[in-house]
Amino acid sequence: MKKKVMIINKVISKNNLKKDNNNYIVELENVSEEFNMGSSVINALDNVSLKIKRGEFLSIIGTSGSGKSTLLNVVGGLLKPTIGKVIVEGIDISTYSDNEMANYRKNMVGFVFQSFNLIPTLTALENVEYPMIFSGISRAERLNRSEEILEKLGLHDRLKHNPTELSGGEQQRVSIARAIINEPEIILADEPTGNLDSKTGKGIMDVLKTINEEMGRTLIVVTHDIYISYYSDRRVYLSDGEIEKIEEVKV
Amino acid sequence: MKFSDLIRIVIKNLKRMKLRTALTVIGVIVGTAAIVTLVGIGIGFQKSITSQFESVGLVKSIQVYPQKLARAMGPIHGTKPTEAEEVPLDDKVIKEISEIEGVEGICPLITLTGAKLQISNYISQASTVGANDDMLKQLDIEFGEKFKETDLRYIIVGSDINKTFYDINTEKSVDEIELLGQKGRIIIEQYSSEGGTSITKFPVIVVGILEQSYPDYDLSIFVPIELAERLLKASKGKSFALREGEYTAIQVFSESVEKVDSIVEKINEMGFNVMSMEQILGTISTIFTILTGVLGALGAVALFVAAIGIVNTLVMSIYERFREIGIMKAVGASNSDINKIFLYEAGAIGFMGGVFGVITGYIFGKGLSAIASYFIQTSTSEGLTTFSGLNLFEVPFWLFFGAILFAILLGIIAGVYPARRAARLDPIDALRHE
Repeated sequence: MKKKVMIINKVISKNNLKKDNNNYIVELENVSEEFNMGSSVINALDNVSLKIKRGEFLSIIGTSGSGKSTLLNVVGGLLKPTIGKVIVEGIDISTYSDNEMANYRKNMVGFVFQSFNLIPTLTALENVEYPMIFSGISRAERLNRSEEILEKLGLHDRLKHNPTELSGGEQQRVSIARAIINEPEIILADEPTGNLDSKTGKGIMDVLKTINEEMGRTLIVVTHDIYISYYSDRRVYLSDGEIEKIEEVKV
Repeated sequence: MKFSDLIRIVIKNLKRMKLRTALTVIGVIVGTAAIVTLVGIGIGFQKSITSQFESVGLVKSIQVYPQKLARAMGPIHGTKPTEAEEVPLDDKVIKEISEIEGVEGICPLITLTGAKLQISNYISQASTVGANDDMLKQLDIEFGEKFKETDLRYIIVGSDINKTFYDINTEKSVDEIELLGQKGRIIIEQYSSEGGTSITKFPVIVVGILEQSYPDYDLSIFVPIELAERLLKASKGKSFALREGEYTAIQVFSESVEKVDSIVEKINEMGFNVMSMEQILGTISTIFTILTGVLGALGAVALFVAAIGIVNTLVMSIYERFREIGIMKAVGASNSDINKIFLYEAGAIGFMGGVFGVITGYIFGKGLSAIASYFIQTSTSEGLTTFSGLNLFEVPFWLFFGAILFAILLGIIAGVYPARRAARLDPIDALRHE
């Protein structure tokens, strides 16, 4: 597996140069996220401050309802904080317009979901190609790049298959390919192994880990599974929307 | 997003919901076809009727009536009701009018509907029209020759007169009989108040047959004006109680269509009422334009209903693609990307419906026109051959492309609401959707 990802590294990692002027790629400053549930207000995030290093593998651990997915969506630009700043590469993205947010999601982040979220009517290849459509990349290049990545991820014989014809592990690898195809700085994974058996889940974590290590991508994984967090550099414990503790993971 | 990718996505989406797309497109087809058929028929009718008039030069003719008659007939275009004294139409007036600039000819209008033309054992009851040399000049002979207005025994007949005869004994209509050079007579039957019938006969010879022009002429018998006056006297047909030497109407022929207006104006100033074919034609055109507009509006209603169908289809597909829209947003599609996809889907439905609708409407209109002209041909025993092969349906270029553009435009307008709604979906809600 390692060898395979090293080849990916060579192929697609073009802007791998670390920007050393700022050690932190993401800084959350006093971020609160409130939802209205009927008449009551729920604090999904309550005054969270967190700094994430460039190239770091961060895991966020918490029970369901702890606000961990909300945190991921805030960093991923799917959700704007009610209060606070989300500074990515020195820019507060909470002030972005809808269009700027779309651009941010297109260029800066890649999502990996628990339920894969592949488009069922498209083949594996087309699913990976999809984000590049919105970047205006030519079709030939899109298909080339998608094919290459899928091959590196061991899916060379699954290119023309629809998601329903793929196993869970295969679907998740397609979804990882889609997340990294636009070469984003940050990869966000929400319970990436949640729908997989432990053996397949381990394989997926290996792929994510290598992408983090070999390509130097910042990786944030949300999980309720303490075992997953052993892959990461740091783990953040989240409870009721607040950071309980942050600890380094000792190998 | 590149335009080619946009189109590819749109086609893929429409293919994915084939049945629903097809049904929605059919709605647009019906609407567009309705517009094309109805408007095409309106235009076809208008064209065929105006061309009938124009082809025979009738637009150059002007009819003059005294005020009294005009009032009896109701308002006539250009009438200015005055209480001034009545000016009769007599030979003095004819002379005056003939001196107006642009007037080529003039003829008192004498038409008898009660006279019969008998040739051997056959009789026709076609209307008889008095013609002087000026009027004869306006007629085109196909066989034989014209008469001089002084040749009181000579007559010429319209091109379809030979189909109007019936057998005197069997009273059955007869097929085309030979008329040219035939001797016959015009019969006037006069019923007196005591119950007796007096019959007056005028011997005539058919010296010419007219070229086909328009139904009124094709089915008329033209006799010298003086003979017409005598026939009229015999039938006591001075219907409007005119005095000796007065006419019910006068027909004036203009040198050209352009001069009609100035002639009409001058005759109006003389205190007469004027009806020109050009004016009538203008009125007919206006009526048909309005009619066409109304028909088009009816078609537009059908298209409007189709547009609602498009809205419905797209809103439904938002629900189906809820999660997909969320995925698109997560991977970087902007609101305007999603907006565009839906708008183009709506436009594509409009386009397909428009193209097939125009084709359908064209075929339908052509079919209707063929059926209509078939019935006109077979149901008119008098043989209105002028109507045979008549094109009652015409689709001009502007209608062809206009209908397609209209369908596309309506589709896009129908797409505005669903597209906005899809574009504004909250990506997190959409991703959570099962």
